[in-house]
Amino acid sequence: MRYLLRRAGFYLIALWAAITFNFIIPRLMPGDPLQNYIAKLRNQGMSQATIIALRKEFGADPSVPLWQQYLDYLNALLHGQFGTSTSEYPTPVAQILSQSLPWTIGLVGTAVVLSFLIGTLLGILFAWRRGSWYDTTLPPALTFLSAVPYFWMALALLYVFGMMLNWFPTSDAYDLSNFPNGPEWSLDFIGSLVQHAALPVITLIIGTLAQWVLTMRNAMVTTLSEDYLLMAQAKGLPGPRVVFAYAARNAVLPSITSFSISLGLVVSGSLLTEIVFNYPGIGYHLFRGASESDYALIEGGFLILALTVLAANFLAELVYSTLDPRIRHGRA
Amino acid sequence: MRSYLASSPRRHRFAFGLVSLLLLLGLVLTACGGGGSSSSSGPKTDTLNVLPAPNGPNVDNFNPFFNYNTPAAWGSQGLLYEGLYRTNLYSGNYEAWLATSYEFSSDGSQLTFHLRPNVKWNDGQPFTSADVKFTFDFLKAHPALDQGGVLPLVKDVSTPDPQTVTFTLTGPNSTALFYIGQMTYIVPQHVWSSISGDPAKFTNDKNPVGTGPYKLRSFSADLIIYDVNPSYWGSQPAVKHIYVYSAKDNTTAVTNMIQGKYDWMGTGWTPDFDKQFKSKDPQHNKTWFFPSNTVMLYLNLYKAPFNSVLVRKAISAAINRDNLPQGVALYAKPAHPTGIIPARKDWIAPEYQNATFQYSVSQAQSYLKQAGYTQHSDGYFYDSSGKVLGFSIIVPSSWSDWAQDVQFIVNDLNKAGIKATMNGVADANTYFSAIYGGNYEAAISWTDKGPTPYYPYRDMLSSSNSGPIGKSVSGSNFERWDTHSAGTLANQVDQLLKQYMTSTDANAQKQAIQGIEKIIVEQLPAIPLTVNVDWDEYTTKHWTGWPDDSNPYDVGPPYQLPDAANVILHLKPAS
Repeated sequence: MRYLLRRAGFYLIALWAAITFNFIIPRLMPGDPLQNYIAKLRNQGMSQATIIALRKEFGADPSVPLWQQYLDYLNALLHGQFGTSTSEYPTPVAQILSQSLPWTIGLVGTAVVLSFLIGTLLGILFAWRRGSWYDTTLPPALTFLSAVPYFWMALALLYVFGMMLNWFPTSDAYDLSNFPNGPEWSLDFIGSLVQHAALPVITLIIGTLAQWVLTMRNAMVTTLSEDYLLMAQAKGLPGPRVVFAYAARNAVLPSITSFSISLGLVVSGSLLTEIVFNYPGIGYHLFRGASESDYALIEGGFLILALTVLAANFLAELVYSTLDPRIRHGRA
Repeated sequence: MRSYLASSPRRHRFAFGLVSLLLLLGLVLTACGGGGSSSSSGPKTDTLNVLPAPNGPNVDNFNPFFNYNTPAAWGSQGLLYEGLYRTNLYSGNYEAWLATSYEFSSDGSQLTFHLRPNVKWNDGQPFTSADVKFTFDFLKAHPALDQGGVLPLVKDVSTPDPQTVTFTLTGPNSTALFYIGQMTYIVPQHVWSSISGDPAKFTNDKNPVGTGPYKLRSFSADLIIYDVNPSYWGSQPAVKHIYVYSAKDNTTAVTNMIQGKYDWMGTGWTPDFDKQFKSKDPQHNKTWFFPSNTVMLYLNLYKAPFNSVLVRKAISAAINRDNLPQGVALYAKPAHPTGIIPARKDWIAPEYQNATFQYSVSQAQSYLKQAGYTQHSDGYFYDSSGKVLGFSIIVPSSWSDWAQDVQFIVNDLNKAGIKATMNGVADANTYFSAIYGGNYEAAISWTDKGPTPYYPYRDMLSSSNSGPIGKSVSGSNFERWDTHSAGTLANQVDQLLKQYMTSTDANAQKQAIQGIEKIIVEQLPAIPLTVNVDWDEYTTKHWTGWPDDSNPYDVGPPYQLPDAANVILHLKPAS
């Protein structure tokens, strides 16, 4: 219990640091949201009264001292308010996040889970049959694929399979013209959803698969040399049982740890995917928000990101302390 | 551990099978997914698919006091709400809209509109002069909404009868017709007088009540749907539904256009795309790029050496403008020395009608020698104190066409002995801060659009738009042309602008514009480079009647509201 409390204290401090950095960093960026807004109006002479009134609406009044802005920001967060987006004025940031996050989590979450499952299974297989032709060829090939810059690979696949071969749609999360009234519970819609998610998910899997394969394979190889596995085989247990119940169960622990951390990064890992595939997730909004000094939106987005990473880490620690009593008692 | 050992081998085989099956299923699903993806765009006889511009997700804001270029949904200006008198951006002509006629008082300080009879709001209520008065009172009460800058023109609004509105102006002002007629969208008193909360945060996305030809059906960040307004006062549009899409960047937009997802879009174009778009179906797939405004090289007149007109002339003469379009922006032509776009050439003084910029390194160098510079052995010019003549030109590096333009200009200037460099800034924000705040030496940027050359000239040259360095400029007076930097010449320009504004006489207005042309040609407050074009790509597969060179009834880009609404009203289904 004392261990848990100590960890909780640490996470509170980490959270405060994340929130504070989140406040400071966008304000260090050059530019002013209102200037951006006026520049885009063009062709119009705004009166001073209008500019002053708009500054108030935008909440980015430089005459308010920074510490005051900081206190206001903390106060708003305590009340669950993320403020008003200026790049999508006057939509509340909370609304943008709540509408776009499900898409991101659905897309990247699926990719991370699939990649973890496929990668771990492949890792088990390669370790079990180490020295076979596929064990000697596939891991280097996968490492090569994941070393290709993601942006380039995604664009290349989009061009070949989306544009040239026409196998996959090239943008959006589902067919907008067939489902103009938005998502619905029907087989057709789910088909459209899967069809649109397929290519982005495949690119994400290709980019991350090698990591899971190698982690699992290496852990497995070590575990397989243990005496109790020799014993299990010697007494004639069937192969799959030895692999899964005896070897993989012990070897999978490091992978589980990095999996929980990857889950935390689901929110952030999507920016490039969403840009390349025009997928309507959170990256789609942050992309424009960042280029237009939209403090509230950037802060809201990164706060969610920080929270999920912290939460995933905390979860990983909890799982670890359950699995390994030595950590719980601080003796490791 | 015990229970684990007890589990039967068969269960494990089952688990192994299940996982393999799931994997297989996943692969099959993704593979199937590929099958029928391209068949989505069948013939849609009454729907128009539009991508206004690749500006990211649609914004949930149907408040017509917000302009589409700023965060606002496309269509509230022109499709949902309308103004009193429209200005055709192609011809510069004024066209009747919610009002059928207007007249100025003899001294130009009163503007009266006669409203169109029998216009109804889309909830069935009649449209009257009370709504017009309400709209202007509403702006006055909420200055954040006066983003068109109309209020400073208007002293008082009176409604002699339900079909007549009279605006008493703060002085004689012929531009009031443009500001009041085109830039202000009329909202219904019976709805807007009772909205709750801050009107500047009123998103108006629940059944907005307007007079326009369309009604809002639904909004999402990916798709806005408009349906035709069956009780529209004008003739019923053939386009019954409008789907408004969103795209994050040019690549996505162009891909979708090539694949036939859109009927109409306004996205930056290069001839490379023609191979996949126009050549694929030359009969239907078209582009029409209309010259919209002039791109300038702005020099910060508050800083030496740009306060010397000889230096400005030298820079201008050293730029080979013919190379700019050839090298990069293929649709842009070299600018006219007056900065006036081809469509407004009637406004150009006779002596400048055939004027062009002359590229001449020797001429540039003789200007520099006149200004007291000497060329050193390294090829660059130095002033008498031994300082090299050099400066940096800023441009956002992501605006690739302008960035390439600047690279060409820098090469030309270096060849002539001027040590110019390009300063590509990372994002548009930094660039905006620099040019609005005056913290730059030279920059490539735009001039504004308008029905006559008055509007770009005023925005660029009115001394009231300028101010000391650090103060944000208005309009496009990025060069800071005012009495501090240009002395009495600035007063002259202000006087000519005033002459145009206070007169309703076409000849007096023309004289004023031609007076300013002379100052621009002789003084080069900013250096005209090329003419920008508006982006307009469309297909006639489902809809015909688009504006083009043979029928230029209006400008064509879908992002140019309210002109885009006028284009939609002209469309007819392809037979």
